[in-house]
Formats: sequence, C-alpha cells, structure tokens
Amino acid sequence: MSTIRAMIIDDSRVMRNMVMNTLKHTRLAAFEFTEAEDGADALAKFNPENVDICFVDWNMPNMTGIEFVQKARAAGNANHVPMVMVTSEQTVAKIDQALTEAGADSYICKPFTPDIMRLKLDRLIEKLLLSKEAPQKAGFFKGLFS
Amino acid sequence: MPTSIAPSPTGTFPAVISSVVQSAASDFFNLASQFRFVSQKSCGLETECGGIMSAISFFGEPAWAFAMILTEKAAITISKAFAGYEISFEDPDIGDALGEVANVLAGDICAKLDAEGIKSVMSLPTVVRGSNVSLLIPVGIASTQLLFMDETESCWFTLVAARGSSIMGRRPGM
Repeated sequence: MSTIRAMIIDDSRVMRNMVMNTLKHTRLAAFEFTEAEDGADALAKFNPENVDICFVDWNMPNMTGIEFVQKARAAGNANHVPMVMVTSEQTVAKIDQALTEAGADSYICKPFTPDIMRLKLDRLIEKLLLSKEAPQKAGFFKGLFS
Repeated sequence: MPTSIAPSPTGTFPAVISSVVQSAASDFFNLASQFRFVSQKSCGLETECGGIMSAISFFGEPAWAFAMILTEKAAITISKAFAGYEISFEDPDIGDALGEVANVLAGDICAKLDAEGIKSVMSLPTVVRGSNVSLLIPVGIASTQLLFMDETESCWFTLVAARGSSIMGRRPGM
C-alpha cells in the first residue's frame, strides 16, 4: 500500500497527536506525518511535491489555517493537494468560507472520532492512493513493452 | 486556586448567551464525562485548591468572554476524556488539552449563537494553571456563573460581558 504524506497544521500539540492517531485508526492508508504549529510555519514547510494532503486547523496565531489554504492555493502549484479543515468552527458561513472561497476540499468538525474521519476521508484517500499507484503501474507496463 | 470573583452590582448577563453556553457545555460533557449542570448563580464561587482556567473571548455584538475553571482533579478528568490518555496536572500538555476543550466549546457556542442571530468571532484560548489565582471582574460588568459537577469535582463557567471594546484574548492570525 502506498504511504500518504500528510501535513498536520495545528497550534495544539495535543490536537496534532489526536489527528495523527485518529488517522492511523481509520486504517484508510499508511501515513507519514509532517507537523506545523501555525499557518506561517506550515507555509514555510509546505512543498506540494512532498505533501499529499494537509489537515488544517482554523484558529491559530501568526497565520490562520484559512490564510494558509488561500496562500497555498494562490501559489498555483498546490491545487492537486487536498486541504482538509479540522476545526471547531462550525457555522454555515465559516464552512462556506472554507470550501467555496478559500479552496479547502473537505471539513471535519472537532471533536471527531475515527468513524467520522473515515466517512469524511474515504473517497479522498482512495483517490489519492489511486493517483499515487497509477504512475507506478504506468512505469511497470512501459517496462514490459520497451 | 481560590476563585474569588467580585459580584456585579448592576447589569444582567444576557440570558440567551448563558443558555447557549450551558447547552454547549452539557453537549460536550455528555460525550465522555460525568459532569452535569447543577446551577447558575451570580459570580462569587470560591474554592481552595489548585486548578486550571481556560478562557476565550467573543468579538461581536455583544462582546463577552467565558472562563472555564476546573479543579485539579476535574482538569485531569476532562483532559483525559478529550485527549484519550491521562495527562498529569504538571504536564504543559494539560493546558494545551484544556485550551482545545475551550476552543471546541467556543466553536459550538458560536454556531448556537449564530442560530439565534448573534454573530461572534472567537479568540484563541488563554490558559492559566496555578493556585491562589483570582479572576477579577470590574464593578458594573454583567456576569454570571454556571456550575457543573460530577460525583466529586467541580467545573465553573464564568461568563463576563465586555465593557466597550475592551476584551481579553488574542485574535486568530495575530
């Protein structure tokens, strides 16, 4: 099974651990994690070539999660990286802001369980895994016929 | 931590907000703890123990703030229920966990207030741990307290209206 490289962005270390542990419990994929303490830290560490998916808190010091998503999308080279908000913000206006204006792909409200995460991420992770396996299969067949 | 709060001589804290806070706290505590709502009263609750206070402000009209005040044992119980593992009272992570608890509550509070037509933006949490810490409320500020208890321990929510534009709490992104 391919490994999903996930960036976990939250100013709370406890919450970052909870997100990582819950993702492992979903058994949707094998995960490799990078952590960031706020949006600014995430932006400095983020490389769309080395990250498959981002889990982003909203309310953080220095730079909010929404600002991070907006700036990452504005760079133009990260549109293939799913951005999943993981946040306590749950008004309709906030969800709309994240998904419609900022360019987030999905939204998970805190608190969450493995079942909730699995439900929200099932298709997203499946697509990611398929996209990672496709180049490998193409290489295999190319090798067969070369 | 003796929690000595001067009672507000004038002004009534908005009932719709205290009702929403009670509802949000009850929903959260019902998920994984035995804490249940006991009573609402004017500020003046005192304890003599160590504890943790986790506070969040709400920018909007009205502007206000809540402080979730936990005894040491209550802090350990609630942080364990939230994080899924026990965190000792001396561990810095307990403040982190309870800041997140306040954050989760604030998100639900904002959503419930939004349903009542009250728009709010929450601050980042401020967490204080210690003993002999007092939350001082200026005279003339509307305030109220909600008491939750399990079999042995207590948790208070002190709700305070803001005076004008003065309010504590760091805005997200700053």
